[in-house]
Amino acid sequence: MKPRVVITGMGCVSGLGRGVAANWRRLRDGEGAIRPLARQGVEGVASWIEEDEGAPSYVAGEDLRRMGKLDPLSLHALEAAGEAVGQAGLSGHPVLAERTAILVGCGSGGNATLDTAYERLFGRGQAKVHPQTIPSSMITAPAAHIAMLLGAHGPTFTLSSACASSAHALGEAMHMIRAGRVDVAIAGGSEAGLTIGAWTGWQSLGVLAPDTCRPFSLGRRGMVLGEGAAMLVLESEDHARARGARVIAELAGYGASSDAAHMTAPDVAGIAAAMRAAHADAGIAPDEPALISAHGTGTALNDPAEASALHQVYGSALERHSIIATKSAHGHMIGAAGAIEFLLGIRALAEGIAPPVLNHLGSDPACDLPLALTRRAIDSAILVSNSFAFGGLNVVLIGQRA
Amino acid sequence: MTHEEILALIAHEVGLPPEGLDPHVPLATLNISSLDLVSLLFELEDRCGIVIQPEEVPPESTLQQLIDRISPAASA
Repeated sequence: MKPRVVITGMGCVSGLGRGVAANWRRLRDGEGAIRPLARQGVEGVASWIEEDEGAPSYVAGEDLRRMGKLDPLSLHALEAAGEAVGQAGLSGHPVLAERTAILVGCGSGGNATLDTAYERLFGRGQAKVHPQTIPSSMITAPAAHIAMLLGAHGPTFTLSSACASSAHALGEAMHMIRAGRVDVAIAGGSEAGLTIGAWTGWQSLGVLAPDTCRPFSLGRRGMVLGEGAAMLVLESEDHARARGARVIAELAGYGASSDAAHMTAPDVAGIAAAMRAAHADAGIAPDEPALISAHGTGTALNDPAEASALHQVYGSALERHSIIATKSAHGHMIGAAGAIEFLLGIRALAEGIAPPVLNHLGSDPACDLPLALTRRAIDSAILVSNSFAFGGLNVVLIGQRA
Repeated sequence: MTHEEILALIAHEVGLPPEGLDPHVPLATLNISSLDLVSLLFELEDRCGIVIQPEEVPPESTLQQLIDRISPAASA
């Protein structure tokens, strides 16, 4: 009998706002965050975070100051972790000392810090860059910073698999708890790549839409980048009940697969395999009415491949599911995508509401799916959340209402 | 750079509020890490053009001694 892994805290920051309540409210109300980006050297549309110096923070100023120079990658992760741990009521709890793991998913490291350093090096021919360039920009910085914030001494690291990073982080953290290695895991992801270097890379790949993100729609023109972080507190059910924690939901299943096919094009067989593996792990049949949070990037290739895989795995039962695609609201948050999409899906389950898929122009026959194009009431107890990354690395997470 | 501007820069780089910086006590007592010190010297070099090696600023030296080295160059 597998020990159950429950969720006792959640936190996030994205273009939709700071905090789970703000993110859920805007998502539910169909208010997307994709808009023209006004940042030096970056022109286009994105779901970006408005700087708000005066906004209340889940992390104390003194705590931030003692960590040295923090790239936005770490700042976003700390905000999300602070909110999640606060909700879980774990601040200062003895479990943080030894029996808590921290797994952060990031697609890339501190881009703003690196861009600043490279500008000195290549742009001005300087021989030195800021001494903290490496520790501030390294991809593992957010995980270490969260551990420092919480005084956590258990297994702590960053895990990277591009667009599936934080989905992998949640799944692997779940297994650590099931295996009894830790009682609690703070898992999720962060990404802060709306900077000149990364942006230019994405533009050059030719997958960014000039207008907006239109998952599964006719006239879709590609993906739109986002930024931010999402962190969840996972806990063994026994530990949560023993300390009287409020259980938000359950992380019931995790399926992970590799296409072994193409670096940027998805493979239907690989995607379907991850879906089936997740259901097998959760012990939940595919015909259980579910809320499916699609990977739904709005690219030419992902959407039809994902639609095909969904039809293959769910068959005639697909009509009874509701499909949402929240990248239409918060953009593609790369390393943070899996976690924020799972988190928002859990909120949707709890509220019994499927948030609308935005920016839809018309139904594409190649992507024929029961999409929630308008906000609708749902009664499912199951969430299926898809993350399909570059390199053909796929994760499907299954959540269950508490 | 004025004395106040230098102190503000130091405060920002080492992550301490300016009020918490007593210029006359040894650096070691000010809770400034070695990484913070290196960062500070980097910023000072950048802004004031004066190169100071970390070895020239031992833990028993004071902020005032550091500021005195910068001030003539800073206001030049």
